[in-house]
Amino acid sequence: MELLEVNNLVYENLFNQLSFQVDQGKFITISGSNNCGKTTLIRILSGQIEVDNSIKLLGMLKEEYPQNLWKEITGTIIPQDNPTFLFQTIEDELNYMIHLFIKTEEEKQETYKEIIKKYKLTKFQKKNPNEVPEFIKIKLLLAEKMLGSPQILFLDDICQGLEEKEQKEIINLLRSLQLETKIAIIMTTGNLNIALESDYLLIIEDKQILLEGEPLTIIEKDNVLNKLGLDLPFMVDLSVKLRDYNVVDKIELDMDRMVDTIWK
Amino acid sequence: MEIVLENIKMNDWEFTTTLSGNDIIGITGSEYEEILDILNLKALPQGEIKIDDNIINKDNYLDYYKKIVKVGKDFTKINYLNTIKEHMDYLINYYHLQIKNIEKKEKDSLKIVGLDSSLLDRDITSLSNSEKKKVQIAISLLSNPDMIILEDPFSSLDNKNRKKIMMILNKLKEQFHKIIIIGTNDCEILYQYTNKIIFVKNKRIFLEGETKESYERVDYLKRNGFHVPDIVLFTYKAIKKKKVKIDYHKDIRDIIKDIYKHIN
Repeated sequence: MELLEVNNLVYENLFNQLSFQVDQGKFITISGSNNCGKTTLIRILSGQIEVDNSIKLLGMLKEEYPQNLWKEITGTIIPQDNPTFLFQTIEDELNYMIHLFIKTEEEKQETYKEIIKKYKLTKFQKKNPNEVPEFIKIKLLLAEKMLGSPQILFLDDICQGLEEKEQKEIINLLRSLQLETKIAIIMTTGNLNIALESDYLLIIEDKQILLEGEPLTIIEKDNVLNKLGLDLPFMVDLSVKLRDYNVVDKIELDMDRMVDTIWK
Repeated sequence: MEIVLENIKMNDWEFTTTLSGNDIIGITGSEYEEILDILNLKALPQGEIKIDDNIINKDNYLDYYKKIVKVGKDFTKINYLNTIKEHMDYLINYYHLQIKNIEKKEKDSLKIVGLDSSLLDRDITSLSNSEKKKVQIAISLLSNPDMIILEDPFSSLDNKNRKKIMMILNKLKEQFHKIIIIGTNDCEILYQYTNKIIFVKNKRIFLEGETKESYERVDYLKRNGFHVPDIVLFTYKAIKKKKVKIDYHKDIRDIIKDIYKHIN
């Protein structure tokens, strides 16, 4: 059974009969041009926007869940809503959140240490979480959401505006969460370099899913994606174009190997 | 339009540079936001500043500081204001802008960025990301600025919308001779859209010059912690590892042509 099913989702003039499934433990990215409805989809999945009879989690319709339970088994981050933190330091903020989920003092301390290490927050423990860089806020939000042991995360373009190095750290973090907890992740992104790192990619266009599949097989459809206004990752773009000229026969993502292949 | 900054000293920064209305100027480096704030002249730094041969000093500074505007990364909605018009009216009051026909000025500003004047009464929250960016630029035009500083303007936009915003910025430069500054750490954007570039490091200007030529100094930039666009890096590797004679290009299709010529 699929973990999450979206069946014939209709919403205003953004989505018409939009459907997809997500298996347990999968990392799914959703992309598309500006205004294709990526953020709205996350709002619908999270429950911020109510729709009828189209979303099932673990085989049960969303409206059959008590609202608190839906929130407990899912975790949502929408950075553009500027989520604010309650406490003056990251240390206090985290400890408060830990205390909501963990009973014994010993375990609380252990969990705190683990989080600080895993999310690389050591230098920021005494800083005000509302004033730290976006990258640190995102990591803190992720850590907090994970404390509730959700089955699935809904992330709205959490890598947007981050430096490449920071984006990589977030992706690695998501990958390790996925491995350790078998959590499923749905993340929107306008950056196909990030989509390339996921297990499965959906492209939304014209109110429906236009393309879906293993990211590389989707991203090599350069004509379609260029028309949508999405940039192909450079190495994919180069490979696809060189393949058209019969210079290479497959997609090569490694730059050095590509140079070696072209100029033997 | 030209701004000459000589021996500027502020908050541990020290630099000398000339910004010209003939260029789209990129500024990059981990501390780029700080130098954008200094250039924004919200406080008068030490050193000599000349705007088109007029020396800026304590006495005339207040006349000039309205002539330099910064377009922030995101639209900062003012809490109790809703529509575009309300925001524009507020800023006109706040900065005591002397405008004869306010409504006309507001509509004209929207027109310059390609938006319909009927949008004046639209709620800010109902705008798309690209509309918000255009409105931000329109608002910045109310004070008839000489220089527009944009902080990471493209991170939430797909390439279609990036191109539209770039057309607007080019128009402001060509027709209205405004100095356009784009601060970002996205080297792909800088390489594609700017013709002059300033690299900053350790609160100094580290390197400045033509964008294309500057990025060709791959070793030097990488050694100093700057990212280089993929298209440049690929060409560099081919030249260095394989001693092939290909040129640096901005468009991937030109590289493909070079490669094709070379291997046949």
